[in-house]
Amino acid sequence: MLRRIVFRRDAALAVLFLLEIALISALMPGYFDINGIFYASQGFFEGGIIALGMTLVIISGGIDISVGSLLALVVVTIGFSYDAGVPMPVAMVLGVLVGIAGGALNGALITQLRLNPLVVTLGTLALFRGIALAVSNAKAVSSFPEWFQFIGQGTLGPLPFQMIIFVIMVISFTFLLGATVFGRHVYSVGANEQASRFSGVSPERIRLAVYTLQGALVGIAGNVYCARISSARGNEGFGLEFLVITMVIFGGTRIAGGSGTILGTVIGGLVLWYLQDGLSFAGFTSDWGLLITGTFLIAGVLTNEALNRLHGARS
Amino acid sequence: MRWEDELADHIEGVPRRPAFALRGVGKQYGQFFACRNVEFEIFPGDAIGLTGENGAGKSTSMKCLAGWVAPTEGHIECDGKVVSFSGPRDAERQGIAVIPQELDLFPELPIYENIFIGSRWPRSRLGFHNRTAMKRHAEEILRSLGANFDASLLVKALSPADQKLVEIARALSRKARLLIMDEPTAALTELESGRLFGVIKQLQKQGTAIVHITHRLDEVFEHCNRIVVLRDGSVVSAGKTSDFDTKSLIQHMVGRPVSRLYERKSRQVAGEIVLETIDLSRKGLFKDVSLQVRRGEILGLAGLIGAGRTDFALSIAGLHRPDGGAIRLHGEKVRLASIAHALKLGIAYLPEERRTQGLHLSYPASWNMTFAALRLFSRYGIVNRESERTFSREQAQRFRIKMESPDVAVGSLSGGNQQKVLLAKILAGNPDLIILDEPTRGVDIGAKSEIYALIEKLVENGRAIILISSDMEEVICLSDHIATFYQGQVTKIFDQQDFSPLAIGHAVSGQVEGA
Amino acid sequence: MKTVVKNMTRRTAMMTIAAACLLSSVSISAAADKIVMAVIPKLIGIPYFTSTGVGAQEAAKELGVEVDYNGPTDASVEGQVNIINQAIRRKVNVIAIAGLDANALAPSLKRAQQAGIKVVTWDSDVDPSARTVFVEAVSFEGMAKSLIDSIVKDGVTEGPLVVLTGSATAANQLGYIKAIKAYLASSYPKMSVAAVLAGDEDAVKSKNLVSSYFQGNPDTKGIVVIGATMTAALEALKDKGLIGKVAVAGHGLPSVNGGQLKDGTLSRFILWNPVDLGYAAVYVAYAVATGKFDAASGVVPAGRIGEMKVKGDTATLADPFVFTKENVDKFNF
Repeated sequence: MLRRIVFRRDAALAVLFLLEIALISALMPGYFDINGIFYASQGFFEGGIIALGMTLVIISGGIDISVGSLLALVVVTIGFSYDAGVPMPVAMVLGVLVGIAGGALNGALITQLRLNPLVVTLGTLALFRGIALAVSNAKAVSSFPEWFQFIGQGTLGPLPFQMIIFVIMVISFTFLLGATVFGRHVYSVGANEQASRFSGVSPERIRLAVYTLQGALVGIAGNVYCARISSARGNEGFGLEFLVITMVIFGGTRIAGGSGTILGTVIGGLVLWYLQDGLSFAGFTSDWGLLITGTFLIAGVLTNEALNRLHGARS
Repeated sequence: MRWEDELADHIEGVPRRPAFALRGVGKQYGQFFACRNVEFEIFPGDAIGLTGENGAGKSTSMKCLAGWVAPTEGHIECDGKVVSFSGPRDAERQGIAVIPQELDLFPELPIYENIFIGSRWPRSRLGFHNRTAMKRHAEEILRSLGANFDASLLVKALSPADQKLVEIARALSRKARLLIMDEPTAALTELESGRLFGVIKQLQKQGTAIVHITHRLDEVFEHCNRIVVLRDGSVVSAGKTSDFDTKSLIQHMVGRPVSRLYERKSRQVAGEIVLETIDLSRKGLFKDVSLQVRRGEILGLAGLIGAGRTDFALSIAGLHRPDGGAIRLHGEKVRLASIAHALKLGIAYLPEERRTQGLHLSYPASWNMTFAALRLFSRYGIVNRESERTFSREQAQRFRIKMESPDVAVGSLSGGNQQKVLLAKILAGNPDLIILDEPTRGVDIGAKSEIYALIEKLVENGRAIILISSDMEEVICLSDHIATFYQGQVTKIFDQQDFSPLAIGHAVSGQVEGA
Repeated sequence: MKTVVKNMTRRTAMMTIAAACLLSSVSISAAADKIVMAVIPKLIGIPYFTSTGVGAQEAAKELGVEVDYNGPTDASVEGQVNIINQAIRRKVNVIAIAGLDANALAPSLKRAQQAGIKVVTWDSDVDPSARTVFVEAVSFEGMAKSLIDSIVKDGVTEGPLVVLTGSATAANQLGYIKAIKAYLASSYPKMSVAAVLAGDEDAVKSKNLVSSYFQGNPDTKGIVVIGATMTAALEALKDKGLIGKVAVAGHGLPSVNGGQLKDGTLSRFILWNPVDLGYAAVYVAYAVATGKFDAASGVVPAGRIGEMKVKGDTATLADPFVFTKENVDKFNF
C-alpha cells in the first residue's frame, strides 16, 4: 500500500516530466533536439548529486543548507591546491576529503552537541563560504588539465560524461536507501527517532553518517562543477542549497522526514531543471529561474503534506 | 457500604428525572456507523460505567453528548428538553464537561490560569485580570476537592493525579453537572486512583453525574452504580451494577462466552538465573537494586509512577548506563553500552509508549516486525525482503494479528494488533530476557487475554521475563515474584504465596509491614 | 488510493496548464533572417548592468537586430557558462559577453565559435583566443590620465599619493595602477604613488585601511580610489577631518556617490558611461556578425557615438567620463 503510493507518485512525476518536455518542444520549434536535451542537462548533475545526499539528510529528519558554501570550499581546495603544484588527481581527492570533513563537522555538531541542524548548517554556510573566500582571496584558478575538464565538459556520443557518474550514483543510492539495513535506519530515524533508539539504532550514528555522506557527495559534485566551469573561485555555488532542497521536496520527500525516494528526487529535479531550461531557451532572464524554483518548493511542500494527510486519513 | 445504598441515602425523595438522555443517538461516517441507536439516561448523582471493547462506540457516543460531533440520527435531551449542540461550548453551557484521557492542561501555566482558561476570568475594576481573585477562587474549588495546593504553582509541577484534580476543578468552575471521564486512572497508581474516586464520590453526593469510560472492570464494579455496555456501536446491555458480575460483563463486551481472563497456569520450576543485578544504582533514579530473574519465571515490578521501575528496566535494556553496582547475565558481569548491545546479548525491552517508543506507525507491519533484528534478515547489510515477508506472515499467524497483508501501515491497525506487532518485533531476535513495560496498556479485553497467553507461552519456553505494569491485577496474576519499588529502592520482594493487593499496595507506598 | 491518483493527475494537469501559459506568452525567437545576439553581463539586477542593457537595446533598435540581454543573478561563472551553452543551443548569431573569468569561460566560448557563433567581449575581456574583439570602456592610459588630472585640478602637483584598490590582483585594477605610475613619471615627476591599499571591495576594511594609513602618513597629498569603495574612503577622511585638505580622485557611481557631489564632499568622480558601453558593444558585435569588422582600418562605426578607435583586437569606447554635480542627475545607474 505504502509502496504503491510511493511508486505512483514517482510515476506521476515521470509523466509530468515527459509532458513538460513535449509541451516545451511543441511551443518552441528548435528546442527539441536530442543532443541539445542532453547537453542542457550538463549543469544539472552537480545539484543532482548533492540532492541524492540531501534526500538522505531530509529523510533522516535533518536539513543541510551549507552545501552551496561547502561546494565553493571544495572547488577552491581543488583549484588552489592544483595551482600550488599538487598533482591534479591528488587535488581531486583533497577536494573530496574537504567535503567529507565539512559534512562530518555538520554531523558532529548536530549529533554530539545536539544542536538544531538548520542553525548548525546556517553557521557552517557562513563558515565554509568565509574560508573559501579567504583562501581564494578573490582570486580565481582557471586553468586545468584537459582530461580533468573532460569530466565536466566532455561527451560520450550525445551523453555528457558526468551523466555516467550520476547514473551510477543514482543506482547506488537507490539501492542504499531502498535495500540495505543502513537505508532502513535512515528512514526510521526520520520517522520516529525514539522508536529507533528503542530498537537498538543509534540516531546519532546514523545522522553523523548521513551528513558525512552528504559531504562526500558535495566533494564529488565539487569536482564535476570545477571541471565543468573550469574555474575555482570562492563565490560559486551561491543558492545551490535552495535548488537542491527544492529538487528533493518537489520529488516527494517530506520535509518532516521519514519518507521520500531517490527516484522521486531525480525526476523531481529534472522537471524543475527542464522547466528552467525551457524558460531560459525562450529568452526569459535568470531571475525567472528563482521564481520557478520558489514556486516548485512551495508546491512540493503543499503536495507532500496533502498526500500525507490523505494517506493518514485512510489509516 | 455498597454504592447504591449510599446513593439511595441522598437521592431519596428527590424526583427521579434524568438530567441528560441520549435518545437513539447514532453517528454515520460514510457507510460506517461509529455508533447507532445509543439510548440511556443519566440522573443527577449517577455514576455510569460505560464499557466496551476498543471501537465499540464509547468515545463517539460521548463525543455526541459533549457536542464534539453532531449525531446523524437521534438527539440529546437536557432536563427533558431536546437540545442540539453546535459545538462543545453549547454542551458546556448545559453543564457537560469532558475530562479526556490525555492531559488537557497547559503544563507551563499556573494552576489557576488553567482552571479559568477559556472562561470569563474574574476582572478587576479597571478591566484587568484579577489574579488574586482568580487564585483565591481556584483554591476554593480545589479545597472542595480535598486538594490543598497553592494555585499559583505551574501545572507541570503536579503529579498526574493532582493534574486530574485540576481538570476536574476546571470543569466545576464552569458549573458542570455531568463529568465524562475517559480512563481517568490510566496514568495513576492504585493509591492515587483511590483518592480520585473519593473526590468523585463527594461530587456525586452533591448531585454531579459521572460517565466513566474505562477498560478496568474492577473500577466499574467498585465505583459505578449503573453499567452501560456497548458493542459494535450499540448498547447491548444496561442496568444496575448489581445485575452484572465480571464474567457476564465480559461476555456482553466481547459477545461470546469467555473463560476467566486471568487464568493462571501452573508453571514448571524455574531454571537457572538469567539476570542478576547487584546494588545497581543510577543517581536520582534508583539505588542499590538487587534482583534476580530465572528462566521460566516472571518477575513483576510494582510501584508508583516515578518510583524507578522503568528507569531500572531501561538500565538493563541498555538505554541508560547505571553509575553503580553490577549486572550479571548468565552469571557473567556485563556492561551494557547501548540498546543494540543489550539486544545482541539477548535482552529485549518492550517500551511502555507503543506509539512513540515502540512502533513506526506509518511503515508496514512487516517492516516493524523485523526492525529490531534486521541482522537476521540481511546479509552483507542488504535486507532480504522475501525472508522478511515470510517471517511477518508467520508472526501474524502466531500472534493472531489481524491485517490484510504485512504491507499495511501498522498505524492503521487496532491498538491490540499494534501491541502484538510490537511484541513480535521485540521477540524477533529470540531474546532470553524480555522486559515488558505495560504490555497491555490501551488494548481491549480480547487482545489482552491473547497477550497473556503469549506471555505464558514465552515462560513455558524458558524465557525470563520482567513485567512492569500499573495494573495490579495483571502483575499479581502473571508474576512469580513481585519486587515493589518506592522512591527508587526495592522495598520488598514477594513470593507468589504472599501476594496480596493490600500488602503490595502498602509496599509501593513505602509502608513495609514488619520493617 | 483512487483519490491519490486523481489528485496526482489533477496536479499534473494544472502544472501543464501553468507551463503552457508561461511559455505561450513568449515571443519565439529567430525569424530566420534577423540577427540574434546574446548579450551577457556579469550579472543582472544591479544598476550598472541595467544601464549597459539599456544601451544594448537602444543599439538593437537602431540596427534592427534582436538582443537577448541575460546574465546570472549572482555573478557566478557557472551562471555565465549556462547562459553561453543555452545561446549555443538556440543558435544565436553573436555572443557579446562581459566575462567574469578570463580562462574559465574560454572552453564554452570556443565551443560557440566552433558552432559558427561570433564572440565579442565587452567590459571585461576573456582569453583572446576565445573571442574576436574586446570592447573596452576606457583604456588604462586614458583612465590613469583622467584620475591624475583630477588630482591636479584639486591643486596638488607634488608629494606622495596613496591608491585604494578593490583587489591587489585583479587584472584591470593592476593595469590602472601601472598606467597611473607611468603617467606620473612622464608628466608629474614630483608626485608619486607611496602605497597601494587593497580593500577587497569591502567597505569596512577599506575604511579602516585608509584611516590608519592617514594616521601614519599625515603628509599624504591625495588619494586615488579604484573600484567601488569611494564612500568608505570619504568616510575615513571625514573622520580625520581631511575633507577638502586632501585631493580625492577615483571611480564612482551616480546612484551611490551623486549625493557626495552635491554636498561638496567630493568635487568629481570618473567613470565611463555604461549606457554607451552597452550601445557600443552591440554595434561592434553587429559589425563582427555581418563581416564588416576590419581591425586593420583602425576604426569601427558605433552609431551616435561615431567611430571608435581599434587597436589590435581591442576597440576603445572613449575617454573616461567625468561626473560632476552639474551632470550627475542625467544618469541613474
